[in-house]
Amino acid sequence: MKVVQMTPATFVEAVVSGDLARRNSAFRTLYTNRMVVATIADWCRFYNFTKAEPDDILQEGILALDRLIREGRFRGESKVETFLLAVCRNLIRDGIKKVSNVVFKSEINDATAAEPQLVADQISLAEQSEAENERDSILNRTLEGMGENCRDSLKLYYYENQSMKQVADAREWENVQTAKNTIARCREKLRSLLLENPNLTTLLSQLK
Amino acid sequence: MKNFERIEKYLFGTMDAAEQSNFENELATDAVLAAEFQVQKAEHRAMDLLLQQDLKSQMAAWKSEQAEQTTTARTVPMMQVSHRSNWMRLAAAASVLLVLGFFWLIRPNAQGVFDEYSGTLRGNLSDAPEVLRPAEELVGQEKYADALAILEKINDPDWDESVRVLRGECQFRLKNYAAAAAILEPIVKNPVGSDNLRKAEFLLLYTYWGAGNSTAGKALKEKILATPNHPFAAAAEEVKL
Repeated sequence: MKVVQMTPATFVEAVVSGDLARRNSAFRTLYTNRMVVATIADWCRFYNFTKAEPDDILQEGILALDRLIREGRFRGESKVETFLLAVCRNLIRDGIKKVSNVVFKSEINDATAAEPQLVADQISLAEQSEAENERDSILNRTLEGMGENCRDSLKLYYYENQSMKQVADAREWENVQTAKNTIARCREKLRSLLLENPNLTTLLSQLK
Repeated sequence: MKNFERIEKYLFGTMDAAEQSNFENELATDAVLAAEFQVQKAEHRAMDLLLQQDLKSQMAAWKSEQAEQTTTARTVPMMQVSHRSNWMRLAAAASVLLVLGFFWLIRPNAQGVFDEYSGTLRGNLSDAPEVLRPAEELVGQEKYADALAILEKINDPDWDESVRVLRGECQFRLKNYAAAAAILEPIVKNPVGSDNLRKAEFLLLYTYWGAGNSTAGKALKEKILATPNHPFAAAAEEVKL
C-alpha cells in the first residue's frame, strides 16, 4: 500500500500558499490516501456507524482540518494524516454531522502523536448549532443570487487574505485597481443581499 | 481608519495584540460598531463557505475520477480472460461488426450527440439564476430564436459571461456555426469563470464539429481531454473529426 509522505509543514505551506492549485493538490493527496480511506471505513464498521458514508466523514474531516490550518491553529505535532484520522474518529464516535470548532483538550506530545486514537482523545469537536446551520443555509442561498464573477472574486479575496495583487494575478486582470473595484462592488452587493433578509439579521443577533 | 477596514483587519487576524484588545473593548461599548461587525462577520462566513464549496466540488471530482479508474482496472482483466476462448472471439468480432454497421447507419453528428449532454450543460432549470431563467426555459422548449431575443436584452455585468455562453448554445442549435464560434471563441480565450470556460469549450468543440472545422476542433478536443476533471471530457471523446 502506497502511503504518500507529506510533512505537516509542507502541507500547511501548500494550503495557505495563496495558490489554489497547490492547495488542491495537497488536499487531493490526503483525500486519495488509501490508508486514510481504509481506516475510516474500518472505524465506520467498528462503530456500526450508518448515519453517513465513510466518504462523507472524510470530506467533513478535511473541511475541519482546512479551517484549522487557515486559522493557524494546526501546530503540526502529529502527521497530517494522523490528525485527520483523529478528527474523523471523533466524528464517527460522537455522531457529529458538521464541525463548528476543533478544541484541543491537552497538548499533543511525542508519546501520543503517532496514534490517531490517542490524538483523538486529546481533541474534541464542537458541533454546529441549529442556528449556525440555518445561518449557513441562508448565506449559501444568498451566494447563489450573486454572479459567478463575484463569487470567484470574493473567494479569492478571502483566500488570498485581502491581497488585491494576488487576486488580480489569479484572475489575470491587468491591474490591481480592477481587483479593488470588483471586490468593492461585490462586497457591496453581498451586503445588500444579506441586509435584505430579516431572518438572517435575527439569527446573527442570536449567534453573537 | 474607517470601521470597515478595522473590522476587516480584526477578522483577518492582522491586528497586533494591543490593537485587538482596544478593538474588542470598543466593540463592547459601541453599538454602531458592533452592528457593523455582525454584518461584516457574516460576509466573512459567506466567503468562507465559498472556499469550502470549492474544496467540496474538488473532492467530488476526485471521487468520480477514482471510481472511473477502478471501473477501468476491473474491466481490463475481464476482457483479457474472454480473449482466451475462440468462440468468444468470434462472438466479439460479430458484435463489433454489428456495432460498426449500426454506427454506419446512424453516423453521429454534432447536433444529435449534443442532445445527450445538453442536460449536463444547463443543469436544472430551478438552479438557473433568475435573470437567465426565461431564456433557459425557451431553450428547454427548443425556441432558440426567441431565447436569443431575450438574451440580447440582458444587461447584467454579473451574468454577462453566462449570457454569452447561452447565446452561443442558441446559435449552435440554430446551426449558425460561424455566429456561435464568434461568441464562444472570446470566452475560451479570455474566460472569467471556470464553469463557463468548460461549458464554452464544450459548445465550441461541437460548433467546430458541426461546421466541419477539423483543425480547430482537433486542437480543442485535445485541450479538453488534457484538462484534469473536465466535466465534458466524455462529450469530447465522442466528437468525430
